[in-house]
Amino acid sequence: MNLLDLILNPLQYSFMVRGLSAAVLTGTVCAVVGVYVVIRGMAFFGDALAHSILPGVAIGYLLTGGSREPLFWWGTGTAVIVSLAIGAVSRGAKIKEDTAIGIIFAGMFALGIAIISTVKSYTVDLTHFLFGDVLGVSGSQLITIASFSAVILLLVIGFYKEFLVLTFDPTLAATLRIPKRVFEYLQLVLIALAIAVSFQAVGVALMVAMLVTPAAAAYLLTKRLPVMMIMAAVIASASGVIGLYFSYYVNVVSGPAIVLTATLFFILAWTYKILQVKIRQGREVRETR
Amino acid sequence: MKNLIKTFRKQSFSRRYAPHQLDAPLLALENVSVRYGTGTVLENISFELSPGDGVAVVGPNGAGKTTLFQVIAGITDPFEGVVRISGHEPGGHTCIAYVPQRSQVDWSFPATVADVVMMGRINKMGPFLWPQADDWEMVRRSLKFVDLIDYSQRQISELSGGEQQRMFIARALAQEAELMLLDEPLNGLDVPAQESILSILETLRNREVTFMISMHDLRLAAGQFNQVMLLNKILLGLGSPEEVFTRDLLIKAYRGHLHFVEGEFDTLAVGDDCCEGDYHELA
Repeated sequence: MNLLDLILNPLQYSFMVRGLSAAVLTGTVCAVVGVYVVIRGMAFFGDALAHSILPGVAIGYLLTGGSREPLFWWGTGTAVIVSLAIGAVSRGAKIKEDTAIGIIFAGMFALGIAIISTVKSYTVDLTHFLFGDVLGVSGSQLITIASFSAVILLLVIGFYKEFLVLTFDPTLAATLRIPKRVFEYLQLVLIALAIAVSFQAVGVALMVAMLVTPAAAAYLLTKRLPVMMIMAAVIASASGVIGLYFSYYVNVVSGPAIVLTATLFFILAWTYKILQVKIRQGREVRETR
Repeated sequence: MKNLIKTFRKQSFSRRYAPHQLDAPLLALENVSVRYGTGTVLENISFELSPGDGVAVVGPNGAGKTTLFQVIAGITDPFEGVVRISGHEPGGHTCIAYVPQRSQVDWSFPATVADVVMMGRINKMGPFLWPQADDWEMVRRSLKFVDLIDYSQRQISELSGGEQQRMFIARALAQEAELMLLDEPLNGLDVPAQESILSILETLRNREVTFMISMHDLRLAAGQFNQVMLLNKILLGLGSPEEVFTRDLLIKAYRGHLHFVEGEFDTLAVGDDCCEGDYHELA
């Protein structure tokens, strides 16, 4: 069997094609939104938000009798509400932000597992919720994922300037009269939407990897924000595709396979960066001699 | 057609502001007080500036220099009193540029020098619009003015302290600011870097750009600026260095943390505890 067959063989299954499309779409969206997560140091927020959507999904799951389709909307609603709640709680300065996030994170996650555990055969479904089931994405789910991805990307591109200034220099944003709070909450909502969109693909437990890992790898390789976004999207998409093929041939669960591939990309970028610095230092030493 | 859409977007979306009142002073503060919690940071500040004024603001740490700039820029609201920029409230204008302290900025941010200077142009574009040729031209001219044109594609972390400060001045220029507020731009810079920034400011002043610059070095303030402001919660003096840097007013500003030393050439040395062991000389 040659390489072309290795690539084409899985594509005869429509679930593989749908899975690959979903992996590329959600990877791109998470990576682009994740660039701000990495730059602003919000990894913990992202992780917490992903775990916090579990009770919403669980309630939806119980009410709709185990149907998968409506779960997206339950996840979206919960993610948006929780993101705004964390934003509001961390504003009331009594508790530090990461403490507030920790409380909401653990409480919501526990609630989610408690609700799901009331169902008899809960372990299979819980595994899907935690680690994703990208190969189980249906055609209509794919359409929903694609439309939401488009909306998120449009908002990121459309308000690129505003987000850029607000992240780099909030004081400049204030003198330019950019409505700070509106865009801060919009940023939280965008992260929430990216999580909801990717829920089916990677599940809540590994979501933070999709937000952080490709963006962090891109951060090591470039010095400009737009380039970082594009690189992060490419790394995430490649991780999705390679990870799924890996999962197909080696029979590993898809979500972890995607995340592991992204981690490998990060290690490569990190090694490249270290070598680059070493070579530059070596050259400088030689020049000064 | 494309141009028509562009014009429409610029006109309908870009933030519009009332035109300047020509008879009003560029900057006027009337009885401005600022309080954080129970503490008073600024009390009853009143003064006016005209186009082309360049004022060095000095005072001990915690004197309210940064707060004064923030109130003028409209970032902080005054507890009492009013700030007027050419007759309007600061919230209505973007012709003010606040040049932050270097320590306030995340220098590992993935941006080039040109990217940061372009941030000053944001309000000239509407939402959903990307920089146009005239925006890039403005960025290029601003970078040329501060002698950083060869550095435009560098990552901002690769700049020296003086270059970082010049980049922010270029951003204020790209913003087409009429009033620049520079928060301790000379801190931590060596003498050549300080001199290059001072000479840029001098050129700006000749072009009728008004600026206020906060600093600690009294001798530099007295030697380089014909207007100085002495601040410590209240406005102790605004005028020429001879009028303002008098023994009485300096004692009022620096309280117990001040040493006057009669040196050769009648030099007064002023010790300011914000820079321990570092004696600022005042001619």
